[in-house]
Amino acid sequence: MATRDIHVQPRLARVFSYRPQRSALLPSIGIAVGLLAAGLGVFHRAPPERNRVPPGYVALVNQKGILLSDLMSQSMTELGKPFSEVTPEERARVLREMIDEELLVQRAVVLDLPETTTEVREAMTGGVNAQVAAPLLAEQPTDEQLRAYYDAHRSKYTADGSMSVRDLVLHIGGYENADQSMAQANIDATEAVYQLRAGTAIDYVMEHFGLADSGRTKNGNEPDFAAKLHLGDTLYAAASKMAEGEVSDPVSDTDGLHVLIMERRRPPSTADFASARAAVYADYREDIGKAAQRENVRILRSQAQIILAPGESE
Amino acid sequence: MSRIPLALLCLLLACAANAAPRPAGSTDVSYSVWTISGSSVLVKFLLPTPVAQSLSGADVPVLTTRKLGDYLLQHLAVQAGGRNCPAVDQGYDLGKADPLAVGEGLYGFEILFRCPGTARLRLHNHAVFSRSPGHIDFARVEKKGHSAEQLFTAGREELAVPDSAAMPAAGVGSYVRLGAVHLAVGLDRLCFLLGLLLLIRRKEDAAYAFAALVAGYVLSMAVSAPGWIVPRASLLEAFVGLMVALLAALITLRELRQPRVSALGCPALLAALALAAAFIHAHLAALVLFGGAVFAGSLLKAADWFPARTWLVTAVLVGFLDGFVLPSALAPLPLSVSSQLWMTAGFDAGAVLVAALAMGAPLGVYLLVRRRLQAATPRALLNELAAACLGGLGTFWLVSRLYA
Repeated sequence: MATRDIHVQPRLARVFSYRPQRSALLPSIGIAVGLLAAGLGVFHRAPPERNRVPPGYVALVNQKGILLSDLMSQSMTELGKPFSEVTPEERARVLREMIDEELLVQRAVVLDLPETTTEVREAMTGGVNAQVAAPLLAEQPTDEQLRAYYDAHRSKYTADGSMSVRDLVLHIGGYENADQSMAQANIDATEAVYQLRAGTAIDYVMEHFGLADSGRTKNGNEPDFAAKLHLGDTLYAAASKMAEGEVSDPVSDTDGLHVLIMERRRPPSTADFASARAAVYADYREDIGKAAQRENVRILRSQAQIILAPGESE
Repeated sequence: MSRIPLALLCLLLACAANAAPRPAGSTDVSYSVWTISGSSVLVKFLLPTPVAQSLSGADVPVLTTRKLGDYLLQHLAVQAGGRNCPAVDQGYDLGKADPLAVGEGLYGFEILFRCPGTARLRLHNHAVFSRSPGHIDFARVEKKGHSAEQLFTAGREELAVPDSAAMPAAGVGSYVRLGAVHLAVGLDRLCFLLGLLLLIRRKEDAAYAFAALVAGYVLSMAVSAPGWIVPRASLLEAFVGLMVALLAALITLRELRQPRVSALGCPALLAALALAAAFIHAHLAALVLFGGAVFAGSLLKAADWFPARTWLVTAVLVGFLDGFVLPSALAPLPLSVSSQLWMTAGFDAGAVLVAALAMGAPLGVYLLVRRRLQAATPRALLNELAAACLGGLGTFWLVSRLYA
């Protein structure tokens, strides 16, 4: 260790060249600053415990506050009168109920009911969905928006039609003429259609050209959806365009050539905007609510870490 | 009083051989609240995550929860009049151990026991002790609006509840014992105390060192009792490691006369660690290391200039930090200031007693054999070895706990 004796110097020179080499001040400041900095890392302030109810609150339940505004609205809802008319006894009773409710909610949180109880999970998901949709639902749609929605979803406001249709089929290469070609069958079917449109009796045409009842329309008059189900997509597409009494052109399907005779037809009817407005309004709001919920879930998924077990998919 | 007993060095080397990272703070604890209401006893049991995972052997929270629930059902019991009280299913098909949401870092369970009577109640807690004999369960027994703080430890796994009188709290002796055990098995604390002996030159230095340690404990009690500040357990333990390393630097500085190496090396190492911590965005760790670097640099400079008793600052600090161990462990239990003060005073008294023994015994032995040792012991080599051990251990504890 180097010697630290201060050499004897002329007084003036000593004054100007003095260095407090052994002063405890600087190391002490260093120790204090170092400890302070380290202390800030090692220790932190304990969360403050409230012993007094802060302004705007009426009670603290396990450090959780009950707002005065909540007490006022609860009192008015429960008692059905303005808060100014609520008596002290009534106010105390409502507050007691609110404290009980808060205790039960806190207990539910401790018991982790959202993880374990289906009803709580449903209520919570419903609550979140309602919350994300609320800002959009608060805005009243204009007539232009509703009309645009109506135009885009006209099928929603269309009442189903009904039809009674007879379906005759010409099986190609049937037992009477095993060598019949597609072209020959087409000529026969076209001729049959010509005769039917000319007013020839159906039974005669069937017998003459070898047409048979397809069996797809045994139920007589039936709604469009049922007719579509029975006829199949190809034949229904032709039938839906026919008017009452009309005979279709030959329609090719898997089992041969079909001729449709529309006996009775009530076409689908679409309600006009004015009469469907209430339904359009409800559907519009439901759709924007669902869109908000989908967007919310999309965001949540983008922020979530979801790991599926091997072999699982969603 | 500058020679080192050989036994002291052997112990330091043994410490080096057993330098497994001690869990930050007193994490081998659990908490239970036993609420007695008529013939029903509701037990709320809290386990820190490391203890829970070591019990269940599973890292997945769901598996841990399920296994722990079953484990606690098997290891907690209540008896009334010598007959077992069955645990009751509390509904929701969850079984008899309801898992609770009790916040980050803790697993919580609730079990309801219905007893055939209310007389001669006995509470049994055998959880964890067979796997970890040093485990402590801080219990609170509540009955008829009165609550008492109790302890379950290995060998004391049963509590009798008085039929008419209020449940008594655990005596201060229990906490003295806890504090004594805490210090006796705390290798870092022991290393520090033994290392402190290397800086003692006169008999009165030993008294000053002990007084500094006690002052640290008293100061921590005064600060921790009102509950204004709370330690971050892992950083607190890391700082104890830093104190051990700093002690090595002080020994090097004072005994081996290599001021530059220790006066610059120790703060430089800490500053480098602070930079590394800042680089990986461990800002609190960086702050602690930065503060530690400034503190160490200043203390070593002060010790270089005023070698007499500057080193006592480290003893005050270690006492202060160790005094926060019990308040930190008790944090999950809401306790009154007086209860906590009482428990901490007992705990610290136990720690101080063991500290006195740990410092006094080697000193006494040394005083008895010093004449023989003076001729035989190569002082510089022993000091160097001791400083190396302390430096290595302290740095190891500092770094391993900093990122725990």
